Amino acid sequence: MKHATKQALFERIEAQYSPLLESVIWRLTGDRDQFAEAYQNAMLALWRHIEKLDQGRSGGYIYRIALSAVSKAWKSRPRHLDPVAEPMDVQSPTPDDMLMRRECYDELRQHILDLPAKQGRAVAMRYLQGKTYAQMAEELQCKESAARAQVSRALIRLKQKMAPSSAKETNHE
Amino acid sequence: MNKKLSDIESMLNQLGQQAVPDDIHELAQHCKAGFVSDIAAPMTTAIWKSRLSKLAALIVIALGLIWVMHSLNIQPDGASSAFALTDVVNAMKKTQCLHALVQFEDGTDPNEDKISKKLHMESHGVEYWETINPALSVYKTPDGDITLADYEFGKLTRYRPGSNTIEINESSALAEPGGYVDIAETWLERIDKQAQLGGQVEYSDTVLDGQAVKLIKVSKCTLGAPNSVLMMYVDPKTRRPIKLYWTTARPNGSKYWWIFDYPKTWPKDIYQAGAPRNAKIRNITPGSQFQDLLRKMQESTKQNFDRQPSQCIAIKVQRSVYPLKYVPDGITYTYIFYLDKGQYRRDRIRYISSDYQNTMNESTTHALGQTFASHYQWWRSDDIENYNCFRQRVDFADKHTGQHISLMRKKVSDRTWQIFGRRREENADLYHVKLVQEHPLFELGHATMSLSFPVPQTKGKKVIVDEYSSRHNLVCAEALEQGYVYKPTGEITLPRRILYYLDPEKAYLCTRLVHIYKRDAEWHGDPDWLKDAQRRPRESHYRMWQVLEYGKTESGMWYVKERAYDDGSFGRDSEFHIDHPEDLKLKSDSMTVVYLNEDPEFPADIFDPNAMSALNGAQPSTE
Repeated sequence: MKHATKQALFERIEAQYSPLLESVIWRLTGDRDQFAEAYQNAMLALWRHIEKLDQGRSGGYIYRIALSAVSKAWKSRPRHLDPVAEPMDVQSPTPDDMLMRRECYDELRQHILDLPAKQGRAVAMRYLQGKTYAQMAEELQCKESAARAQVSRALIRLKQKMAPSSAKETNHE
Repeated sequence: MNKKLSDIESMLNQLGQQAVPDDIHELAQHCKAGFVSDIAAPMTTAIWKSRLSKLAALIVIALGLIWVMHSLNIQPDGASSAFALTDVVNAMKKTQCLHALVQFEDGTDPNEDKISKKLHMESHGVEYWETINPALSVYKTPDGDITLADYEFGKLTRYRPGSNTIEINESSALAEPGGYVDIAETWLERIDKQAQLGGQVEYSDTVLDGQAVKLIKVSKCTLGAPNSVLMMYVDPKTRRPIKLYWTTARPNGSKYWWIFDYPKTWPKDIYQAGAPRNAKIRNITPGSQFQDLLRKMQESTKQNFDRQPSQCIAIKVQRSVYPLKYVPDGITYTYIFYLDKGQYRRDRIRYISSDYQNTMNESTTHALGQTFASHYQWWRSDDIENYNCFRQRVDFADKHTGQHISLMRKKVSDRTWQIFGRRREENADLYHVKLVQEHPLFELGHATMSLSFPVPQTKGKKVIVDEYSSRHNLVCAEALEQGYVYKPTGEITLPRRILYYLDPEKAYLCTRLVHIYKRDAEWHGDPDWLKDAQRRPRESHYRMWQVLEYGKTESGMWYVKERAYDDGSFGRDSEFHIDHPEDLKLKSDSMTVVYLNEDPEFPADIFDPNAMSALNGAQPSTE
C-alpha cells in the first residue's frame, strides 16, 4: 500500500478507535507519561496492522493492540522510577496507604497485561469498557458463555497473582 | 475464594470507573501528531511534499557523498582518472526521465529494526517515474494504486483501485506549482551535513551483469539506519546510475534494490499509468476562498516562524481545572524551554499527586508570582520538591549534530537520571518538527497544520462569516466531519463541526477554536447513521480553546501568551445553544500561560546531557 494512501487510512482508523484506545490505555496506565508512551506504541501498531483493522474483521484486535502497547510501555519504563500515577478515586488518610493503593493498582495493571491474550482482552472489554457479555460475544463472534468463561478464568488468574497485595490492602482497610 | 475474587472484581471496576481526564484526549492527539510527523509523514513528504522522491533523495545523498569525496580530494583506488564525479552530477541534471523499480530482499537478522524493515518492505514492487520537462512524477504500487503529480499545474491525480475512483485535486499542496526541484539544488544542502557525519566513500571498477561499471560504495552513512551501506553502480559511458543497493551494516540485514533506466516515454496521464477508463471521477479540489486562506496562513506562519528569537528561555505552566488546593497555584505541569541558536533543552516538571504534602501559604504564593523572573526562580529551585513537584524528564536537541536525547528521572529520592530515548538524524527535519512541537512559542495557536491536514471523510472545509468572526475581526474557517459508529467496538463519535477563528493581524494564530459534537448534525449524510449503534450516544457537547492574551517578541514574532480551555454539553441545563457557538463562554480556569525571557543568561552546561547528575554510567554521547 502506498504511503499516502496508508496515511489517509491511518487517519480514518485512528479517528475510529481513538476513544477506545484513550480510555483503555489511560485506565491501564493511570499516568500521563506512561500513557503517552503507550499511545505512541499503539499508533505504531495501528500503522503496522492497519489492513486488519480496515477490513472490518478486527474482532477484539484493537484491544490486543491497546494491551500490547501498554505492556511495552511498562517494560520500557525506567526501573525504580517512583510512582507518579494519578490519584485513584478513593480517600486515603496517610501517604503510606496512598502509596500502597497505588502500588496495588499498578500491580493489578501489570497482571492484566500478563494475562493470556484472550483473557486480557476479555478483562479490558468487560471492566475497562463496561461491556455486557452479550456485547462481548457479538464483537468477538463467540457465544456469551465463552465470553463469560474468559472473564472468569482471567479473574481466577488475577486472584492467584494478586493474593499478597490484596491481603495487604485488606489489612489496611 | 469468592470474597477474594470479588476483591479483584471490585478493583477492576474501580479501574474501569476511573474518569479519563479531559487533557488526555489532547495528549493523545499530541502523540498522534508526533507519530505522524516522525514516521508516517516523512515517508509521504519525502515522496511528494519535498518534491523529491525518496528514490531521488537516495541518489542525492549518494551523489552528495561522492561530491564530498571529490571535494576532499579523496582519490579512489583503481579509479579511472577519466571518470569525473561531476560528470555523474551533470548527467543526472540532463536526464529527461528516470524510471525506477524497487525490490526488497528480506533479511534474516532477528535484531534488525522491524519498523524500518516493514516500511521498506512495503515498497517492494513499486514503480516510479520522474520527468523534468514537464515536471511530473508517477508512483505506482503493485496493487494498482497510482498517484500522479503534475508540478506545473499543482494537480494531484490519484487512482484508488478499491473504489475504482480517480480523485483529482487541482490545488494540492503535494504538487505545488514550480515545486519540482533540481536534484543538484538539494545536493548542496546535504553535502556539508554528510561530510560532518563522516560517511566513508570507496570507489572501484567492477562488473555487474556482465557489464563493466563503476562502483561507488558509501559505508557508515546515516541514511535510514546508522551505519548503513549504499552502493551505486554507474554506467561508465552515460555516467548515470543503473542500480542502487542499500542495506544496514548487519550481516544478514534486509537489502533494498533500486533498478534504474531512462526511458524516452513515460505515462503522461493517469490512464497511461494504468487507471481504467471506466473509473469514476471525483474532483476534490477545495474552494478558492479556502485555498486563498490556506496560502495566506502558510506564508504568514512561515514569516512568524522566521522571526523567532534565536535565544530565549520560555516557561510554560499549565493550571488544572481540578481543585488541587495543595498544588502551587493549581499548576500541574511546567515546562522550561532553553533555546540557544540551534540547540534547545526542555525540562518537564510535574506535580506528583499525594494527599500528604506542604500546603501553600501566602509566602509561597507570593514567591511564585506572575512574572518570568519569579517563575524561573521558583521552578529552578530544588524547593519545588517540597511541594511534590519534580523535574521528571529533560529533552535535548541539537540541530548541528542531529542529536536528540531524552533523560528520565530514575528515582525521585536520589535524583539519578537515565537515558530514555536517543536519536540521531542526518538532516534538520526532526529538529524542526520537534522544535515546533515543543517550543512554547509555537505550541499554542498554530492552526495551519490541522486545517490543511488531509482528514478523510471530511465533507467540507470552507471560509465562513459568523457573528463571532465579524464582531472580533477574525477569519473563520469551518470543517465538517461525519459521525461514526464503529461496529467492532460499538464506539460512537458524533459528527463534528470545527470552527477556527484566525487573527490575520497576528500571523493567523488561532484565537478561538471550537469543536462542536452534534448528535443530529444536518451535515451528516445519513440520517439513520445511529441505527446500528449498540449504546446511547453522548449528548451534543463542545470543547473550546480561547486565547486570552497574545505576546510579541522583540524580533516581531507573535505567540500565544495565555490560553484557556473549557468543555461542556448542550443538554437541557446548558446555558448555551448548539446553533450559537458565538455565545460560548469560558467557565473554567484551566489554562496555559507562557513567560518569556528573550535576553537570557544560560546556566553553565545547561545544554550538556552529560552534566546531568548521576547518569548511572550511561553515556549519552553519539553512537
